Order: sequence, then structure tokens, then C-alpha cells
Amino acid sequence: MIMDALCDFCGEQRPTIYCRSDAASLCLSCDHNVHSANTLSQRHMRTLLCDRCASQPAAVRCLEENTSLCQNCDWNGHAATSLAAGHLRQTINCYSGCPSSEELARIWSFDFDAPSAATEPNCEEGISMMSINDSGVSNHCGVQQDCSLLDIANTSLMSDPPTVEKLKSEDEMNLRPLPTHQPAQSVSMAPKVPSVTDDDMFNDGRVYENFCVDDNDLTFENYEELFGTPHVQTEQLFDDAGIDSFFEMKEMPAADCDQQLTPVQPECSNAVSADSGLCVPARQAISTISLSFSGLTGESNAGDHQDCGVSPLLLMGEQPWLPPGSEVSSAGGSRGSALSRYMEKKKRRKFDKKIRYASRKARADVRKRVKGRFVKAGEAYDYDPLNDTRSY
Amino acid sequence: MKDNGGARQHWPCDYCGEAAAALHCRADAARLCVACDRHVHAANALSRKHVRAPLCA
Repeated sequence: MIMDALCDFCGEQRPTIYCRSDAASLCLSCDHNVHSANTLSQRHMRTLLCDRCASQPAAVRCLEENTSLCQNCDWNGHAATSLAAGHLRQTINCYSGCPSSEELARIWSFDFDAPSAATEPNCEEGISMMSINDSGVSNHCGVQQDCSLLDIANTSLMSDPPTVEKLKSEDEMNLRPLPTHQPAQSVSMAPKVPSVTDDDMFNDGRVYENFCVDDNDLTFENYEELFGTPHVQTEQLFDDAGIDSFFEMKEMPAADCDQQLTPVQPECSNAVSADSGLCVPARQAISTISLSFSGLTGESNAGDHQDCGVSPLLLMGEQPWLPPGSEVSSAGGSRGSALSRYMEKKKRRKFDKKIRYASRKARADVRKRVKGRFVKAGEAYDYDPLNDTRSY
Repeated sequence: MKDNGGARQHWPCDYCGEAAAALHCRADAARLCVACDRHVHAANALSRKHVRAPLCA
């Protein structure tokens, strides 16, 4: 495809090998010459060059197309929407040292271009007798899974916003995958991944199912994660269904002030002006309301986001705010139940360190750290406790 | 191997293993003394391009 690329060393032949340490594309003979010079260069990790872009190291080998592809070309070429999504792919290994042509042919038995490009023609005979490596099956599952998930994420992100509203009405249903849809998708998956069980691919199946049935579902899921609109908020809303809408509206600022600001504001100002005649900026209005309602019903917002500044205020400020608040909730029964609920939750409050996800703590504990900060695992931070060699 | 009584430590060169290392080559991920650095990186055009940084000493 791209025949313009030349070996970085001789500048004559087409490069086939990529050296990660040197960050250079080399033809086979130059690779052999350069890396046999001394022991240090022999340690360099080399791999095949991507056939398509000829600029990045190849990560996988597509058996259908018989091309070695870097990650980008692999994702571009095997988009989940196209038929190519199902191509079998095999990971490509690196090598170091000074392997001969036969050894290279053995490593990359599928590819008879690379070894024969520069050196002996007898390689081809050796290659034709070799069978394709099946060791990469589990790897290719992973690769396929990764790239398909990413493809789905990419495509879902691009779908249009108007469909999001449609989803909000049916979010509960779609957030938990329906098992009925799964068989349809697993059939298409089955021929490619026969050895993988449903448990392993459940996440993937769920993603596929969401994608194929209604890719807007996934959009909504991603939207959720991206924009941080928790569906906890909907749960809270449903929790307070018994209480009238005024309380429900109060819940929203607890969850996400910024997003709910505009819808809440007119209601807030109406109610507040009805009570105490306050016409204040939105945030103050909300905090006022949350104060007054905390006096009545309290809620998790006291512990959650309005934090310590509000809770002591609550304790002291309950009494003064009670009279204006009591005018709002007319039904005594709802007030009584709301009050008792508040008292119950108040008893159960605990302001101490709480680990919500033990798995996350486990991961954080094993993460590599330099001077107490998280660092990328692969980077050469060169931290020597005895002799710090970092240059400033 | 590299302790000097706590005041100053020296890595041995990764190539010869004898002299104290003075430079660090990022591409090779190796610490080299000056002589070995010159020897190794004069070998070919690609290795001449390696960026080397002095070690803290």
C-alpha cells in the first residue's frame, strides 16, 4: 500500500521490522546488521511493521486478509459495523537478539513476506511447510473483544442526541440486559469464539445485545457514565414518590445541582416566594429549600453533598425554618411520615471513611506508585531508592 | 555493589561492569560509563541518535 516508506538505515529497501527501542523502521538486513553490533542493541525488542500504514508496529495479524496491522489500522479496518468485524486475528510477538531467517519464519509462520524480503529464498519452502500458529486464539478473543467493545463505544458516541430522551423513559429496562435478546447475538458470536463461555463473554454479549438491538441503549449507558447523571437520581425520585412533588424537586439539587438548576429554579422561586418572599439567586434558593426541607424530611443530601457546612446548620437551624416549612406540606400524615423518616436516617448517619468498592481499593493498593503518586506502569521512572537518577 | 558508605553511590556500567556509570541511555535502557557509551553508540547511525542523559552523581 504505502511503498514510499524506506528503511531508516539504508534508505533503499522497504522496511518490514519496527524496533521499539530505536523507534525506527528497518528492512530485514539492516535490522540484522544494526542489532548484532553489540549486546545492548541485541536486547532491543523488534516486531513486524504494520502493512497498512508502515509507520507503527504491528500488533495483530488478520488471518482473513493476511495482513499485519497496528492497533489503529486494526480498529479502522475491522469496525464492528462491517463484515470485517468477525475476522480472526492473532497477536504478533516481538523478538530480540539476532534470530536467523529460519527463526523469524518460525515465529511468524503466517507471513512469508518479511523474512524473504531481504535474505535467502529458501525461507519460503520452510514456511510453506509450517502451519499457522494457533497459540493466539485466546489472545485474539481478547483482541477482538477489546476492539469490538471500543468500536461499539465509538459508534455509540456518534449517534444522535434526540434518541437519548426516548431512552430515558425506558432506562431501567435497558440498563439490565434482557436475556431474551442474548441468544440472537450469541449466535453470530458463536462461530468465531466457540471456546469462550457465556460467562466470560457476558459483558461482551450484553454490549453486543445493546448494540444490535438498540444501540441507543448503549448510548444512554455511556451518556450516563460520561455525564455523570446517576440513575440513582431516578431511584431517589421513585423513593419519594409518596411525597408530593415539592419534595421530589428538592431531591434533584441533592443529586446534581448543575444539571437540574434550570428546571428546579422556577419551581423553587415559586415555592420560596410563596413561603418567605425570598427572591434570591438560584443556588441560594436551592440551599434555602434544602435547609427548610431538611428541617422536615432531611434526606441523604445532608450527609452526601451539602456536606458538613449544612449539617451543623441543620441541627441548629431546624427550629427557625420549621414554621415556613410547615405551611407548605399541608397533609399532616405526609409530614409525620416524612419527619419520622428523617429522624430514622439521622440516627443512622455515619460520617466516617467508607469504602464503597472493595475491588477498587484492591486495585489501588497494587498500583505502582512513585513518591506516593500513581504512575503509569510501563513508564521508566527510574526510581532508585538509593540513587535517584532522574534529571530535573 | 554500588554502596559507597551512604554518601555517594555509583552504578557499575551495564556494558563493561567495571567502571562507574555516568550516562543513561533511554533507548537502550542502560547505564554506561563514558568509554562504553562512546563505543556502543558509535557502532551505527541508529544508535548515534540515542538520547543520553547524565546520571546524578
